[in-house]
Amino acid sequence: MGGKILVADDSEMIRNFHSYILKSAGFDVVTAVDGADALEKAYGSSAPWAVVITDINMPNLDGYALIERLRGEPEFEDIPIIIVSTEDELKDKQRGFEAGANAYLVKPTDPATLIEMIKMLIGA
Amino acid sequence: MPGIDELIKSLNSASEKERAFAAEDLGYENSDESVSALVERLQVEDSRFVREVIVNALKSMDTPLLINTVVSLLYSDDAFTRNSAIDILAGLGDKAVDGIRPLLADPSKDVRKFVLDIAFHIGGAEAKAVLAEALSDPEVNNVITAVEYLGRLESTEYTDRINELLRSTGNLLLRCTCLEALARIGDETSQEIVTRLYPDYESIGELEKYSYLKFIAGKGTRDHLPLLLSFMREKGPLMVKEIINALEGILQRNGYDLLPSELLSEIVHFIGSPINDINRYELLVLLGEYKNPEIYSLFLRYLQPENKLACLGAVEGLGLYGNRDAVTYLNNLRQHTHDDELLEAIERSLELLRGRGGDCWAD
Amino acid sequence: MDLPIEDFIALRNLIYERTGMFFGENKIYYIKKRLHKRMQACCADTVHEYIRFLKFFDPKQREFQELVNLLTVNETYFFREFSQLKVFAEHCLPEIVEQKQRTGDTTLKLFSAGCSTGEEPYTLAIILSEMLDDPTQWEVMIKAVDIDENVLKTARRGVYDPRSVKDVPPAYLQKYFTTPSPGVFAVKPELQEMVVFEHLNLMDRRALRYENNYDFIFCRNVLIYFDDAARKQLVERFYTMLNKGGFIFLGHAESLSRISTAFKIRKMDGHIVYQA
Repeated sequence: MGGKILVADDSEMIRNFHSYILKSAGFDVVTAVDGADALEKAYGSSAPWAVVITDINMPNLDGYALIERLRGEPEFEDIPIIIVSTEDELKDKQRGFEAGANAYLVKPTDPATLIEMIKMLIGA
Repeated sequence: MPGIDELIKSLNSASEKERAFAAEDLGYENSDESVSALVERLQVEDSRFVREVIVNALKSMDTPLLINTVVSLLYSDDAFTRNSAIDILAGLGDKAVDGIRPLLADPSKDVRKFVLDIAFHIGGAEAKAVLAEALSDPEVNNVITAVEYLGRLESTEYTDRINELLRSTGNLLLRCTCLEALARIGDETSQEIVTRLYPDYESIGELEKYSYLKFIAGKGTRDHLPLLLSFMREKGPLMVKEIINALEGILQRNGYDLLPSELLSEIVHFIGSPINDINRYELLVLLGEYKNPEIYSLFLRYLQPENKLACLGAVEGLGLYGNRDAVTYLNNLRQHTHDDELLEAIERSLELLRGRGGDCWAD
Repeated sequence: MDLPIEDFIALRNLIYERTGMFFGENKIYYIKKRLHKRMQACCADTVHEYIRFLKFFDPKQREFQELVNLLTVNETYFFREFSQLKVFAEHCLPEIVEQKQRTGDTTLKLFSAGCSTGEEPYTLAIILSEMLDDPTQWEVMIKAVDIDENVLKTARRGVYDPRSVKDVPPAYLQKYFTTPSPGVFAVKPELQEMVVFEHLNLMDRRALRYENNYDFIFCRNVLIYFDDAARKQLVERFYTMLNKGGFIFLGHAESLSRISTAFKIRKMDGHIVYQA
């Protein structure tokens, strides 16, 4: 399994931890410190993204807004997007799916669950 | 400038531009009345642009009502509004700390988390104390956040508490976070705990390896070198960045003139493996500090301008290494490249070598 | 002086988060050299120490700004950042022109912020003259502003040395410049007529309030000299100056999203561009 994954979270430790999980599973990882940074990096890449993983509460551009903007661009219409957030209420999940996310996980991330989720979404 | 009533009216105009100008001007008014008007508009405004102008205006203000009004926005259903509140409060510095501290007891774990975000951006002793309080938060995600932030703020006054968390927690992510924080602020007790938790390579969990290496980079000693060799052999391509940092950290803190031969041979092997050029560059420059004879021939091997970064590493390494025989090779390289930075680095290394005696321009 | 990659990345991230300016790994030597100067000025023995200083002991970001000034290239010349100008000429300009033709609007307004000695606005004038099917059918106005009266004097004169025109395609050099004497290049009057130079302080919050209906704003390698609040204020101003669908161009290593997310990001020919 391989491919490039974009991880957006304002917590350095979460970015690191997700990087460890994903790198150990054979992915290349690019991290972004918030939604605005993630958007720049999404557009800035020449190679396609396998998956985008994003938090919700981030400065500059929150996760919902990031997902909406990505979905508004033909290039990113079909990219699997996973939300990983501390927000665990039903309304948060609904909002996430409305914005265009494919999956929603609650922190702290279970590494095996995350990898399984990714495998399922990229059809591996 | 128009009066405040007029500005508030314009704040609700149909024109996006008018609303933006009104928001900006209300910011300069810097009164409780303008704060209320701006905060009210923020919650109903649908133009992203105008929302940003409102937030920037609020960030420039400082009125008696501001803190309490903005704190209430932390409870908003809208992510932008919540983030804006964090941004504004963080900008107020220490005076906001008293306003947010009571929220550490809020029933909502998310609100408690926002308090930590604000405290982190404020920094300072009072803010760190708020973060330290959160080390006992019932929600583990908040504890993790507090540990991360205290580490990043280099809060050595709370090292003891983080040591304790590392010792006692069964939560993987918290353990990793503690390791990475203690890489910055750890002490001897931290080292003892780490050694006890991870007596050998096999005892380090797969996902903990990265954080462990970070701890070693910050606080590791010579005693960790054998373990580092295991990492290089088993996890070379995967954890190259973390391994190099750990290596640099240990070597910098321990004076060596000569590298132990097993370590050197592993590093040479590493340099030749499929790592990124930037990592190769870094390792070559690092080797320049040591006097093992094999290092000199390694530099000459990489003195090929086709791979700029590796070549740069070799050039800089030769300057540091100090063998004046290198002058010939550097002068020769100078004829074969037009790259400005490479040429600059060559000049610099030649200068360094000249400083060791004799005239390196005589060729 | 050694610059461990970890510290290089920490510094790079700090600069990026605060200014939007990004340095790739190939810039490590470039940064090392300049960093050394600032470290000497601050009496920091290691890079790690210097970064700590920037993070914790530089509250007004004065030292940070010194570093940024040192890291940015201040030279100006015609057709600087050629590939970005190509995107402007071949993608953005035709898009705006097409829109305007549909509505019968024949104005084209461009703004060059921090124009210095004029190379950028004259470059834009050349591009417009080349790319518009019939330039005479358009009312073109390029407004170029700077806070420094001296550079504006030079800009108005429109006379340059070989260094300034080194990247001008030879055909354009012939077409748009005269050479009153060897090594002296003067822009022709028809180019000068397209540009209006004005003395203006971009940090004066009222300065640009009445500027409207711009189609393009060029603000390249200028924003990095401002602090966070001033930068945001200026970008807000630019947003109100632009027509809906107008474009703003920053330096190729600068990103707008760190400053404002009100603009739409688009990708054209491998370049990121921003649109109001």
